[in-house]
Amino acid sequence: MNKVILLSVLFVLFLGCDKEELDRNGTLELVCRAHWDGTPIVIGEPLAYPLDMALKFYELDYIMSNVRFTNSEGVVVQLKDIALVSFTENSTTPAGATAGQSFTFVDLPSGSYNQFAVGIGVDSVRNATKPQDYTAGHPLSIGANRHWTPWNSFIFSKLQGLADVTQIGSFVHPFSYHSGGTALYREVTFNKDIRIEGGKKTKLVLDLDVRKLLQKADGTWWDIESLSGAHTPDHPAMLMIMNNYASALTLN
Amino acid sequence: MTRNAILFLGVLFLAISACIKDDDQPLCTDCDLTYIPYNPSPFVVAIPVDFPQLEIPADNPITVEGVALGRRLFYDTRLSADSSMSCASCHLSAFGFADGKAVSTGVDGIAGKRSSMSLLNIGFVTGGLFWDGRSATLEEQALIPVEDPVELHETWGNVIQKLQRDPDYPKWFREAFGIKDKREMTKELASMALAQFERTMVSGDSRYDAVFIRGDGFPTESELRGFEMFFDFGRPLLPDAECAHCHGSVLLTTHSYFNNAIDSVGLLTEFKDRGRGMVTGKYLDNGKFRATSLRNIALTAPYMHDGRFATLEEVVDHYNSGGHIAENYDSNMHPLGLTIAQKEDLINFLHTLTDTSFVQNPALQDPWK
Repeated sequence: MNKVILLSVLFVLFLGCDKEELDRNGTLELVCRAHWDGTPIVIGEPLAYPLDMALKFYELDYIMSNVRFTNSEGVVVQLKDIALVSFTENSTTPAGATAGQSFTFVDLPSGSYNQFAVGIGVDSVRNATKPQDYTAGHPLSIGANRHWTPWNSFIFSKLQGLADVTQIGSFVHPFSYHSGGTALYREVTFNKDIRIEGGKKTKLVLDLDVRKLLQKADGTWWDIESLSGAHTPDHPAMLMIMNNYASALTLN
Repeated sequence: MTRNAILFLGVLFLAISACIKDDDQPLCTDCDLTYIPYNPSPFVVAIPVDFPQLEIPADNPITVEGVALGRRLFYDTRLSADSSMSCASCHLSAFGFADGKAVSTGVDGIAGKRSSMSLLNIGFVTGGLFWDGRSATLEEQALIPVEDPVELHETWGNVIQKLQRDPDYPKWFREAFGIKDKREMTKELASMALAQFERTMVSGDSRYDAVFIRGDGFPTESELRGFEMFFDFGRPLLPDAECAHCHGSVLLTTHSYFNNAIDSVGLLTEFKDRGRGMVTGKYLDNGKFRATSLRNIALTAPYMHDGRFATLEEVVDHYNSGGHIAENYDSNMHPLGLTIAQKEDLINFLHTLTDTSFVQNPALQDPWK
């Protein structure tokens, strides 16, 4: 009799362990890519800009923070506190640009989720910190080169490169748009059904159409030739870029 | 009888074998160091306000004894082939631990191709050492100049032998690293000691730190204008000098690599010195060099990786011109339009970065004098 009870308890324990393991062994791969109206952006390769210009990007990145998804009961699963999505190093070849930058999250609870959210930049709490608060290799450390003293803010997004404003293949017109400041932190939310299953990997692709970042609210395009840089947080170029992340990002 | 003879021969053979073994490993009558106490004391590096943490490798904690050994090695000319030069020959305290020359010259009189870098705040550097970032750590970096033909041009084997023959170094190695036998002295331990000493080279007590960071006193109007142009505070009528893109942060560097438009090239493979590109093999890294800290910049002339600019005025003139456009040049480079007065303001600000207490710090001077 005692043996039967013992075996039953062991069986129940075994099942419990197995269930626990199944509940938390889902994997999500998030791939971040940049494109230009559908064409993968390769660093240093020319792209047609609507105002009879062409552009080449040489530095292109953004800070991604508070990455999370939520199920229908409102349970939130935090995926990533902060990460640098950098195309500068990852998209130097067509293959690299197509592959994008991949982030893998493991040990996720199985289940159905219907919302995915990502912050562009850092929130006010994080933005009150300084680069020296972080160790080497952190996306906000000194070596990451992402802090701008006059704003007292991290740089959320960088678009730098050279423009050909004459359409003769002469890329000699530099442009540099750095965006930051607590007021410009943006969160982008996607309503999407995401299934996480134990022992399986789910893949999501977060595509950024960089071209859309440069489109003004009235549908016209930012004049890169005459307004090639911006450093003040209240600069309209920064507001435009940060506001446009919501429409420029798609989740597939 | 035969048995005794065999036994005798056997004993003789063993004795000879033992002797031969001794010949292979020479007798070392004074090698034992265990009689010397090994009680290293932690060395606390004073970190200035607002500085990042000093990241110290777990396998090379900073100790009083390690720093003392590293300091002696740093100033010891026996690290060179002809005992004429030491690390300090190219890193003099009076020059902010650079050497004041366009390019440094080694023991054979051969000029190197790059300018000596200041060692100021070197322990805070991330992302690679040297102008091209080819060494990941100070421990790794410290091994290189000894055997470089255009620097000390010695072998580490010779250096270690010289140090083993010295009456004091074995004791100092024992005190720093706990070696039990002087034959355990190695180049790796020497480089660890040098790295420990270099991590104590902390500079954060300039006028800039007092006035702009700690709020202790006031800048002059000119210094303030220079500060605001340097960091681009957007003050009306003051242009952005674009300096902080590469020299931001409390360390006045971002530890990053840039093509700062000093050379005119067609293809990026045409750079006379390809810098970072030689290390990474990436086309777009050609012509890029590490942005150095501007702390003590007034003491570390001449400037750039090849020392081409003799004065700060020449440097500011270069940046004011916008430099030479290249595919990978930093796109924050463009003609700045600074007036003569604004250039003076900028240079006056750069002079606030001089920290005389650092270059005169007795703990960093030559211990052999």
